[in-house]
Amino acid sequence: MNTTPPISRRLSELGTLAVRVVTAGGAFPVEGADVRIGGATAENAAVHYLLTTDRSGLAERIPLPTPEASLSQTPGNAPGFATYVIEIFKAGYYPLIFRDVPLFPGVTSLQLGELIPLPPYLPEEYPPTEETDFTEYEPLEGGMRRA
Amino acid sequence: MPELPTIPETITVHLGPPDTAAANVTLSFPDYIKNVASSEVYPTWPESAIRANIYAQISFALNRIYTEFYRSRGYPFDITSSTAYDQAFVNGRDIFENVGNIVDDIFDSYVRRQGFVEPLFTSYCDGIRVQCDGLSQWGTVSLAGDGLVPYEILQYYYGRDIDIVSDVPVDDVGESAPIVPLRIGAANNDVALVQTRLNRISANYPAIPKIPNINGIYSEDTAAAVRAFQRIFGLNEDGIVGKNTWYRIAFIYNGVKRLSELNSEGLTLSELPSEYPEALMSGMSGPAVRVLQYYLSYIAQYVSSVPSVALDGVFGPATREAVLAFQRTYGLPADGVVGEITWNLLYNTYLGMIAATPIVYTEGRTLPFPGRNLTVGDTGDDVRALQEYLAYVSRYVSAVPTVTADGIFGPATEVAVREFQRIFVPSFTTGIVGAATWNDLMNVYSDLYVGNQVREGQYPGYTIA
Repeated sequence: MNTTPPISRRLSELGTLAVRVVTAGGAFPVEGADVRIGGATAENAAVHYLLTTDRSGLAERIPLPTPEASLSQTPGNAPGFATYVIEIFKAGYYPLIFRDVPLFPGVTSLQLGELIPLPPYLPEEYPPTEETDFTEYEPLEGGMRRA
Repeated sequence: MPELPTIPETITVHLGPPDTAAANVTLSFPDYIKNVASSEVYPTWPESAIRANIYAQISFALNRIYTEFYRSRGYPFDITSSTAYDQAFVNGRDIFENVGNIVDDIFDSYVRRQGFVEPLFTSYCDGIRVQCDGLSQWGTVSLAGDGLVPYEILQYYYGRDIDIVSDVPVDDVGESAPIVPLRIGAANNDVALVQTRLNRISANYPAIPKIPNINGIYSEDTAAAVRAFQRIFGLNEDGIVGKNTWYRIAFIYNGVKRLSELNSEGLTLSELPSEYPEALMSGMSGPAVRVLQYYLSYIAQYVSSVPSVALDGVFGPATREAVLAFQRTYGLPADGVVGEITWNLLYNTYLGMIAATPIVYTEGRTLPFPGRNLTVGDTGDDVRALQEYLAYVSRYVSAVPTVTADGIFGPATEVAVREFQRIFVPSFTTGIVGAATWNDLMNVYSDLYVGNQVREGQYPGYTIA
């Protein structure tokens, strides 16, 4: 069930999330994939959406709470983005899980889900869940360390 | 004299420092830059700052490719995702739409020193935690705030004697983008090319309406198809083919075409045995190696960490690299040798991909029995496949009514199954599809398909209007 995003003191603005689901490197869209979106931290844990992709593989674009834009204009502030978890499921494919997807105010984040078909017969469990893990994602902090 | 730099269609990124056993992923060059730009800078920054950073990121990547920095040292990739060596890249991450639109606009441009052809090694760092000789990422925000345009920001860091080269040719996408955007009223060969490509893409993306007349005239039909394409692929829906839309059409078209070419090659290969032949390893050659290469290349269309290989029947270094990549991706011991477990997983992975593809694109191939009896009330991709095969048969066997491939086993599907069974499996008219009925359906389909192929020069059996 979709819920209305709560507006916390820190998450006072909105960004947009757009999810597109494909297979074969984008040669085919995937219709009817379930897309689950939820807050990744305590400040947005109450946010939850469940969407389904259309025949072009597109899920409805939805607004999501973010902090204010000024935080990302100068260095040294609290994070200027809010993070979300996106899970994509479709029978016959490996599930996809994206952790800590950043949403910035006034910006649309485009998440492409490339589904990989499951082999029909498996002697054992290969491989474990196909996952992209952003838990160590830091866009600038840590920056460039080239010699 | 060195060749002039071009924009590669794809780039291969090693997901870790150079000497680690990490995966190599291959993706289109603009998609790579979108990922880097989304990983390196904040999308809320002033546009001039974002643009200046993207010029630096493009030039950095092109410098690595042009100088063959990694390839010349024997690595099977162009660049790494490690910020200690190259620029940040997070495989599979989200892209910021405004950043992506800028990349679409300038991905065929780069920075060079005046008097030199090679893309400049545009080093950069964040400017707060790490200081360097090159561009400061946070510094670009202040300079943009002072009103500097991207070229001036780049000059500030790399010196006054730089050029931004634009409209650089893009490899392997056919014609370069037309200088004048295509819109209603345009009439030329570029329009015909767009019409042909959009119609081909629309076979896979049915929300794009067909353009009935491929005549090189940019009609309202063409504009409608362009708008639908732009909507799906997140481009500005203006119905005009500018550079962004032109190249996006070219990249999507290439992907669609590669898969269907592999599917047609599969027709002859499908006659080869799929059973495990013997352990395949470096130095071997022959038909079994060719089948292996075919499976690897097919899987490569779906899994970006497995490279595509030439179907030459020779187990050389590229084939070994692809086998290693497959083994790593699917959690097998990575020894580069195709033993029975690797072969069976390769074959089954390939089957899963064929099963997920609508049969109109798989050129006469058949699927194994899905492993469950199909009956009224069932739903799923196996039901959809059943319906597609029945629908094909009904085109040639009038007693079998046609069915809609909606993936739902309803009464109409049951009638079609019963009619099929009445004609081809008379002892078994249950309306339920078990292994026997499934296999008979595959045989009938396969015979009809092969029988209806018109070879080059062959009389098609009807009058061409």
